[in-house]
Amino acid sequence: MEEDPKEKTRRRGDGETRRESGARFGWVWGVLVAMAAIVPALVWGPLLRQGPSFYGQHLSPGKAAYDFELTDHNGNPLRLSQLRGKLVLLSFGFTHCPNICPTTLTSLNRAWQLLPPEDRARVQVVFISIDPKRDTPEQLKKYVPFFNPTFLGATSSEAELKKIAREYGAFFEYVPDAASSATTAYSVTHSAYVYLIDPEGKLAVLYRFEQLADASKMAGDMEEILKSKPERASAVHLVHLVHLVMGLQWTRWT
Amino acid sequence: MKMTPWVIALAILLGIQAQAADNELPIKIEKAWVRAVPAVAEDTAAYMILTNTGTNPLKLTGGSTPIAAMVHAMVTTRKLENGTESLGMKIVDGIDIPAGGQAVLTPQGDHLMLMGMTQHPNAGETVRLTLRFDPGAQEITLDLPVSKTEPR
Repeated sequence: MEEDPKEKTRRRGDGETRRESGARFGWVWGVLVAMAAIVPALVWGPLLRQGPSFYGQHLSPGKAAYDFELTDHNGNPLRLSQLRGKLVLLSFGFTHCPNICPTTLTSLNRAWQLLPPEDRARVQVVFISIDPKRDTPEQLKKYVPFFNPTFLGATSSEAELKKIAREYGAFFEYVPDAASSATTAYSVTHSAYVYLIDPEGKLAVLYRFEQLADASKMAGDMEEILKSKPERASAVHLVHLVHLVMGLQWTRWT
Repeated sequence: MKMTPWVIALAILLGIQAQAADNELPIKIEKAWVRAVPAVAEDTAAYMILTNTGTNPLKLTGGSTPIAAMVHAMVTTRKLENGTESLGMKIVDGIDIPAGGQAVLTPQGDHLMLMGMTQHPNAGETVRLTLRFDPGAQEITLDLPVSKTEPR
């Protein structure tokens, strides 16, 4: 297209009208921009209100997890309520378990490894042995830390373990070894779920054994939970506060 | 000296050929490994994918290893108890590998259990494992890597 110099001047002189039409289009744009903002909000809003989606089965609103009383692999008493402020991953098993338990603990370690270091410190894995006859705290100490030195093995009396299992909807049963008459020759059939308990002590997510194969998705859930339950004004903050006050004092003194 | 890589490649190829010739069974074994377990553990498991490239069905019945008293074929059993799925294991007389089919032994399912461990190899070491197949109790011996997690 050839440009007529006259046309050019005319256009330049036409500035006023152009600004008007510009303003009109500006209004249309405004509506479009507003719609671009409102429509997704209408569509996504209700979805977002449901909260983030989890890889495991999300239990919302989570009920308070049963406050078990166990002895950990160092011989110390271990109550769930002692672990408030931490995300707890709970699994049931036994050390004479050649496949399911090592697989579970290995997956939990892989998920733990995938977390940023500051989140790892807020996670506690507890492996509850449902085989107290063979799994003494000493035995657990030789077994559980092999998978990760921060993991805790724990156990209790058979009666208390039965109660804990019932409270968590877990299950175990001793199966005698048909090939042997020794009283220590038996296997344990057990449910193989992993329970994620949030830092407030509520059951939040449940994993089936098969789901443990994807450690990165489990780590994603863990980060999501830790993000939604930020650390409370805890000892860490108190230390920061003390440092701050000391710092201020120091500036005054000097 | 430019020939060296070729010589090595040829040697590797011949090595593989020699191994294959040794193995008369039409079985291809992939992703085989043994789980590293703590020294207090009495048992461990071996995992692999077995492909029957032949035209007759085969059955993996167990085997032997220098690191444990027994090698058994195990299957994972599932049972629903008041809506709770319970997992257990059962020693079976064998795991079927149909002609042209596979047996997949993974941590999520069936496996070979190495029972009554006398040695506890560390991750990075290898374990000799002899697999036994029916019909005919035919054997294949392999060296499996020991690993804490499924090798990628």
